[in-house]
Amino acid sequence: MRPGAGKAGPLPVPPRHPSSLSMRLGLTVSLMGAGLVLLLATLAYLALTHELGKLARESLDNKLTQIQHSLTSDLKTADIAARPHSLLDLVMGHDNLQLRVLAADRQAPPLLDIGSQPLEALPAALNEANSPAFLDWADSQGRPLLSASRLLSLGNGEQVRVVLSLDRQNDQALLSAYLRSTVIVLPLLLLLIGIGAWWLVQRGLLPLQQFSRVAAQITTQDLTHRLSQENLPRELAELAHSINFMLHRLDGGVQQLAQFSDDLAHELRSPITNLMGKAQVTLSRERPPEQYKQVLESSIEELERVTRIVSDMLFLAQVSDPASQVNFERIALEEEARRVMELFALSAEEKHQVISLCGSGWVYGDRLMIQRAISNLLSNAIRHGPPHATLSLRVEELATGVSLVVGNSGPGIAQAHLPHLFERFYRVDSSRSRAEGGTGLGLAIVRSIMNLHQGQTDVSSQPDGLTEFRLVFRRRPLNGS
Amino acid sequence: MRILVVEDEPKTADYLQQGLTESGYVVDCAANGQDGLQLIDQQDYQLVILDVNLPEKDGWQVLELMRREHSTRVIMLTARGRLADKVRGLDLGADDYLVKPFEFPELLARVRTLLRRNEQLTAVEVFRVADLELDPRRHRAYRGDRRIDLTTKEFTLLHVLMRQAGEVLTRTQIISQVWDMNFDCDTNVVEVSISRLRAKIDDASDLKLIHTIRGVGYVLEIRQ
Repeated sequence: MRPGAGKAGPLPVPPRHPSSLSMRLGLTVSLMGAGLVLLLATLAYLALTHELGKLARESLDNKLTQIQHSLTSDLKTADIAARPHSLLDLVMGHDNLQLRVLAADRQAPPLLDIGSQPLEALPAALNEANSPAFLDWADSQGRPLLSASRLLSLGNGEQVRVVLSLDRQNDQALLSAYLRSTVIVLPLLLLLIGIGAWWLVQRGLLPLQQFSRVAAQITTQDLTHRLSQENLPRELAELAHSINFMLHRLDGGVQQLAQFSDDLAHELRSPITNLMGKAQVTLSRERPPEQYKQVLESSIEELERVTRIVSDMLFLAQVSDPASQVNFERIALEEEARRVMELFALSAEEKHQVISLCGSGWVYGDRLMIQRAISNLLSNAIRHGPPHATLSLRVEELATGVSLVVGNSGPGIAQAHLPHLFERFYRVDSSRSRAEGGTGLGLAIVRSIMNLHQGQTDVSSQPDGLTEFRLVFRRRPLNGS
Repeated sequence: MRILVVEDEPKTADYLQQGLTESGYVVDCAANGQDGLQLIDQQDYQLVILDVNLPEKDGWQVLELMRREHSTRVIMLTARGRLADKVRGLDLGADDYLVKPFEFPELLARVRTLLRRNEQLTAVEVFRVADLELDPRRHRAYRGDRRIDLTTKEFTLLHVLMRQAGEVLTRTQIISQVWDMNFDCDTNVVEVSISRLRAKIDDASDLKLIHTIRGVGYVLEIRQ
């Protein structure tokens, strides 16, 4: 009835706030990546520092042991300064090693000082009796040093202190080189991760762009577009399937509407043509008043048909409106059937038809609408039943609800017509029922009324046998009241 | 009795004015809500027939504004037959509500009913038109001296026709009053019933009382 063209209204503007999904996912993934890379780099730095320190200590320890060997063979402190060759051999191979041998007397100058770069004063801590085995310190030039000190006894029982220092400038350089490269590479790496994530998400969302392309092509004129479900990830394939199904139903509905307005125009055209033609012919020359009266009278009959079609259409629109509500009340179905039967008794009598009524049952519904449904079915039965036919109204209690069956004997309806009988303007024999005053909407109204009552309509027919229309009511309406 | 028709569709206003004038009322017309309100203030109307779709001020507004000062009876006319509209109209103080397309005799009947509300109803015991007599309490009908044998529905039909003798009743009105079916049903029951009633009442007499007005309805009256 209202294809909704006028009701569309302005398009809702998509809200601006939530930014693009791919951007958000890209950012999240790169943040997570950044955290991970940072953690890894820190761990590597710590491990490297630890390992380098350990290596330095081990090598110092080794050297000290060798030096100890060489020194214990000497007898006096004076010998150390006199022939330092054995010690020189040990130390000179490594240009980052410094050896200093101190006499037991702390004020005395060092007995021996070997090394590429002579050391300044050693930290006092190294010269204590209980000095630590290893000490990390820096000289005045800022060189990082690791020193090991040990108290040794010479051959003659004299005690000397040996301090071996390792210049760790190389290790320091290695570590800072590592840090530098990490700091330079990290942002690039993060950027790469971010771009990669963004690209991946973009790719993943590519099917959605196809969705929106298809959606943009869909109009009420053309609902044939469908989403291709090939190569779609499972989640989106399900969505695409539902959307396609929705399009399919919409397509059906729109086609039905188009067909319907087509039919409606056709239905209205013939009475309007008749009216127009008759009026034009009548006015084309002077006539006695009697004839004008006749024309007016026949016009009214034609107009009555138009009016009936229009009010049936209005009623259908009202009943089919999802917002319309039924005033449900408890109704004795056989009572309403009896009243409708009374109304049609004379019409049936004119055709020598007999109407019978049996059974009883309570239903919930709108009295006027139920009367209307029964009346439409019964008037059809009388109109299409042959003279002397038997018509029956039967109220039956079913397991699922209460049903009302309107049956008539007669030639029956061909099976091919049965599925279409409840469609608007569908007629088995169009010229005949139109001549008898039908609007072609009676059964469509019955179905709409039953839909509104959450019930069902059904028809069965045997050739040259019984034709039965069945209305099935629920025992109680779903939405209570 | 003075009636105001507020209707912007000239053809509708035209035939309403003609039909009501010919039925014995004095009729004024207004083509929009503003003019309608002015006329209501100036003149003393017994009834206002008010269309809902009007330019400038629509029917609802006119109804609301006029109800502040006037208690004139109002019949609303509308192309919309939704229940919500009906309820709204009646809530705002309309006395009756008619959905287009309507039949003129029905409008006329409602106008008469509304205007009659003021009058005192005299309980008629026996209806008489010419030599036709109907006694509802004893459930009997006579044509002259002849007792007429009627079925229940035929009796009710005759009762309805005689109670409103001289008024044209449409098919829909008759179905509603006799069979108590208040929707447009697709049946020839009225035609059949009238012809049977006519056979029992008029066939034997020279003075015919039941008249068919083709395309409109039926009336029971004395015609020369």
